[in-house]
Amino acid sequence: MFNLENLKKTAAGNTDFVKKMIQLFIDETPSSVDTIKNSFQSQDWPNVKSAAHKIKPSFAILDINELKDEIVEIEKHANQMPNPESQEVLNTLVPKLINSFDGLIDGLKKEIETM
Amino acid sequence: MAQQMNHLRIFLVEDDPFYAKLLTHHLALNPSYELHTFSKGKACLEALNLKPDVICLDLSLPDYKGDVLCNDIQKQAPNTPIIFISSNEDIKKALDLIKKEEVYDYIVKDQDTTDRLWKSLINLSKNRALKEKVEVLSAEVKEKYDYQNTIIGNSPAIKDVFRLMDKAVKTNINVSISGETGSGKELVAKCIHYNSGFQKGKFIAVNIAAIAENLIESELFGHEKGAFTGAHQRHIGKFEQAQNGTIFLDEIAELPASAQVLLLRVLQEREITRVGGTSPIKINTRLIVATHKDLSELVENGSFREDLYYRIMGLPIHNPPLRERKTDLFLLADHFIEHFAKENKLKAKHLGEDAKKKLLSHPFAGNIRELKSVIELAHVMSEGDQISASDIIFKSANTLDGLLKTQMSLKAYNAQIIRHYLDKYPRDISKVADILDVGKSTLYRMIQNKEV
Repeated sequence: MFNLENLKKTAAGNTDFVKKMIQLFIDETPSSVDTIKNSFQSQDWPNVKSAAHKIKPSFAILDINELKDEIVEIEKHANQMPNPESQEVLNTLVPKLINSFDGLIDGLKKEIETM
Repeated sequence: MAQQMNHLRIFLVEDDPFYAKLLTHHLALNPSYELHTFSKGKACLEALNLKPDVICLDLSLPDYKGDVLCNDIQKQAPNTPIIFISSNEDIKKALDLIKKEEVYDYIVKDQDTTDRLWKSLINLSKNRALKEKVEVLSAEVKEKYDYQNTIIGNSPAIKDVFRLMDKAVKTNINVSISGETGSGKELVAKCIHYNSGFQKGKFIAVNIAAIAENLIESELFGHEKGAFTGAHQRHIGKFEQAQNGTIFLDEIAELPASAQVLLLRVLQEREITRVGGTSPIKINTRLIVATHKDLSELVENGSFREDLYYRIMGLPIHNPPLRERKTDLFLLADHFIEHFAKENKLKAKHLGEDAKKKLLSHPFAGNIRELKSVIELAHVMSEGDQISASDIIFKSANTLDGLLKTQMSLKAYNAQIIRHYLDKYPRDISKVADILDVGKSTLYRMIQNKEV
């Protein structure tokens, strides 16, 4: 689901740093995902766009394969709302993000434990 | 700016804690980097008194838009380079920002951000080192041509040159320098250039006498590819090379009549056209000319255009010959001794009284150039700490020419000639008497009466 090679390369052998970065992701990202979820329901598109924009880089750094491209798309289409095509894309991608996110966090927690 | 050459004081303005931590960790791997991290634009502005070398700026901050913050930074700390780091992949936005002079780079947040930022900072550091080197060299050149220290002398004649140079450096007026060969005309021209408003451009020196007549136009004004047989590529002429600087035309009296017309037009129009070209090019160049000939005489005999003469005369500066500034002779000699000793890592010697007397009696037809050469040779020839008369060797090439230029009485000429041979054959009165076809007793009498 994720690939930490890039982060480990940046860490230059500092495992503690890798752990801290993952923990930071675990601590900081859920609130932004919650914002996307709530704003999607209330159709507050600027907020959806802003929250997706905020978490986009960290998804790229942790190379979260299943979701990093989806976050980019969510930001892009939230910016195009109201638009029927974008609405359709968001109707698919936001639930996918929410459904996968808890599993992602669990996976990252396990990764820390094994380090 | 931070003090050490490779040391960089970096401000990182990033509100995303994940990204701030990532970049901080990465940049901290370089011990030359001093990092200051801020999560808000206002905090960054308040810390600008720390004089960062570069500011890495997130384009979207909670209290500031990156481009607005960039403007506010430049108001407080002009010329501080900014590197934008943004998850905004809008190319137009990036291009608009990078067009700003102070924006050094624009890096998109992705998996390569850390590497790109690293490279960008390395390049910035190299550029900064290069810029500092250029600034140091420029300051050195300026110091080298600080004419009060470069042109040695305090005689009234040289003070008059300083006075005129002061006037020249404050304006863009053309300058014409006259003076005998070896009197330092090019040095005066360089000093004017490096102390004037034209110092940011180049100083281009051209010896007119050294250029074949059929090449003068192309050399001075350039040519386009194919303008004539052999013009394989475009050539930028000396006037263009001296854009915003100074062009120094030495031996201007040797300028052929055909080129005189062209130069006159350039000075009137303030523009040149390359040979074979059709578009005129505006030039902003200070013209300094020099000659050892009397241009007004050439105008009178018709070999130099009168209209060009008045154009180029501008502010005339006459470099006095060394024989008219004898009081500067020992200052110059000491200067050359010190310079020669320093260049050759030797202890500087001093001039003995007999050496001084010998120098004073010489006409120095080759002026300062000749003095320099004589002093350097004397320094080499001298065995001890002192340079004596026998170490001072005058080359004969211009001696008669120099003697005649001094306009002395016949008696004084006689004394100079006798002294010359006495110096050449010391302790051999018989030989000197034979050469000059005078009696030995005459020579002894002149020496006794201190006539020589």
